[in-house]
Formats: sequence, structure tokens, C-alpha cells
Amino acid sequence: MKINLKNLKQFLLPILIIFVILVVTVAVLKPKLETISESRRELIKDKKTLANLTTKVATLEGLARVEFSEKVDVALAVLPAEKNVPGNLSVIKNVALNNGLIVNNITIGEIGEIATISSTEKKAKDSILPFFKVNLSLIGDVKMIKDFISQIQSTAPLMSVENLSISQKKTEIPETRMTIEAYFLPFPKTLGKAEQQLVAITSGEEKIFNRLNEFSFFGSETNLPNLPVGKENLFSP
Amino acid sequence: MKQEIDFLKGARGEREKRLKFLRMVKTLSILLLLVYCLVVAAFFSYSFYLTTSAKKTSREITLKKSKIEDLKEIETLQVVLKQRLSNLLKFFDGQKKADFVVLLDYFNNRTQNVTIRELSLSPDGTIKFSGEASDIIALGQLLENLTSQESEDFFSSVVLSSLDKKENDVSYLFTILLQSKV
Repeated sequence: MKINLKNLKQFLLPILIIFVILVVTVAVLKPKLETISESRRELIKDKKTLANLTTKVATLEGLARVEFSEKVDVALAVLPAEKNVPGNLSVIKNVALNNGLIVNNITIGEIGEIATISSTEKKAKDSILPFFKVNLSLIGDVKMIKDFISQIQSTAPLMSVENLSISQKKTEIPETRMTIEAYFLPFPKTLGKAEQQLVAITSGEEKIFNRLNEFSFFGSETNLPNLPVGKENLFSP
Repeated sequence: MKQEIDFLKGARGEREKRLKFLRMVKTLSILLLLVYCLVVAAFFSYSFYLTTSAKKTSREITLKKSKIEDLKEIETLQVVLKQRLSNLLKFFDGQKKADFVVLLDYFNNRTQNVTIRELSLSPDGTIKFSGEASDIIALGQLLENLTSQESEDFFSSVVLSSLDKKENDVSYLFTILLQSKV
């Protein structure tokens, strides 16, 4: 079959146009489309991030700094960030004295638990808050002990009486041995990402804060109670 | 009347048809090129819009992040408060131990006719109550109190674990095991 070149020449323009379209599509448009698709995905993601940030800024601007600062002070007084053995002992001593009790003996739980850093790891599996134990021996009648427990459980820092044993020999004043758990909670390690939304304080947590507000506070006195210690002069009789 | 015979009429018609077809192909291909150019231009415009929007959004994100950085103090306060309150909520909700204050109040008010020798309270509500009753009537009174309708609100079980009569005396030493409800 003989190809008529003159006939083909007449179709040169449409063929050239189709060729250009194909070349531009493969060389330019296809990569551009991929870039557009990627950019679109990025933009949607960025817009979502921006929306989150805008909400977060609005939420943060809506929070009253002074009010929050006061609330955090109360929460930290009730639930300190670290073990404050002198502070806890001071409160126990003051509450005991306020109720007319004589502190016979105080011992602090396991020695290893005194270290602040190790506390979180040593936290009991079923307990929500880390704690250290204080074993206490008090002299006083049952009513005084009842008032002591009631007061110690509603005084900052947070403590709770776990075991209680009252014993009385003949006409002596009863002796009470009890175990108190003193709680604390280390600060969170990170604040989280900037775009991470703030988790609002729920109504249940607000109620807890109202409960904390009803706690008694003994100020910032953290002196250790005057307990018998070793001899100052080892050579004295 | 003069008449002409056109011998090329058929061939001319064929040529005109072909020329018409060629013109149409040319026009359509130019139109296709124009449409294609428009499509390409639309894609480039959209790409430009995306780039501009991305830059604008990125600028706004940086601005918001710096604003959040300025508000870091209040954010820290909120996070610390939230952490403490949520843990305390779980702590108070999870507390199922016996109410020692209520129990001590009960024993302080309802056991006046006997002498308490030992009273042990455990968080799980197990109570060991040892004491001395001056006579059998006082002991009976105590047991009646512990098993009364009113005491049912306090104890789920009351078991007299041991009872010994003292020699040369009418008094009794007793141990009662109780399970608290409060």
C-alpha cells in the first residue's frame, strides 16, 4: 500500500496538537497533579491544626489566671508534688495535740519509700495515688481518736487512716496504734503538643475541688515534731 | 438554450467533502488545544491557590503557636489542676473502706456497760472487739445492742468468738468478730 505524503501533511497540525497534549500531560501535568494532591492533603491537615490551635488559644484566653493559680495552690496543698515527710509529721503532731492526744511513737514506712524519685515506680498496683506510710501510736480516749481521724482525713496534705487498733489495760488511758497513708502526686512530665487540645475540667472534678476547699490548712509549718533522738554528747552518762 | 456538461462534478464534490472534513479536524484540534490549555491553566491556578493558602495557614499556625507559648503559664496551671483533680476523683470514687469515724462513734456510745480491752478496725470492714463485761447481764445487753434493728445498719455479721468467765469473779472476758457495713 502506498502512503500518500500529501494526505498526511494535511493531518500534521492535529497530530502535532495531540502529540503536544500527550507530552505536556506526561511531562508536566501528571507530576503537577501529584504535587497538587499532596499539597491539598497538607493544607487540609494544616487547616485542622490551625482550627485546633485557634480553639486552644480561645480556651486559654478564657481561663482566669489568678483563679487558676489559687485553685492549683489549694490542689498542691492537698496533694503535694513530692513526699513531704516533715510536713506530714508536723500536721499529724498538730492535729493530735489539738485533740488532746499524746503522740507516743511515730515511724515512717519503708526506708526505700522516702526517696522522692522512686515513689512513682514503687506505687502499689491497685492504688491510684502514690503514698508513704506512717505508723503512729497515740494515747487518748476513743472520742479523741475519733475526732483525730475525722480531722486528719480532712486536713491538707491528704492522708487516710488504714488500720486502727485500740487497746486498754485495766484503768489505763487507751493506746491506739494506727497506720496512716500520706499521699502525693508528681507533676506531669510534659505539657503535650501545642496543637493538643486542653482537656476541660469536668463537673465531677469541680465537685472534688469544692471538697478540697473544705480541707483545713495548717499553714506552711513543716517543722518535725520533737521526738526523742540520739544523745547529743555521746560521752555524757 | 445553452447547456454545459460538467465531467468533474463527482470528483469536485469528493474534494470539497474531504476539505470540509480536514477543516473540521483542524478546528476541532485547535479547540482541543484551547480547552487543554484552559485545563492546564486551571490546574496551575489551583496549585498557586494551594501554595498561597498553605503559606497563609503556616503563618497563622506560627502566630497561634507563639500565642500559646505566651499562655504557657496558664496552660501549665490547667494541666496540673486537671491531673490532680482527675486523680483525686478516681481516688475518692475508689474508696470503699470502712468509715472508722462512724464505727468509733458507735463503739464509744453503745458499749458503755462493758470495758473495751481491744478494738481493731481493718479497711475491709473486719472488726475485732475484745472486752470485759462486769456480769452476764451487761454482756447480754451488749449483744442485744449489737444485734438490734438499729445496729443492722452498721454490721452485716456479729459473731461471739470467745467467752470466758473470770475466776473468783462474775465478770466475763469476750471477743466479738464483726463485719462492718459502713
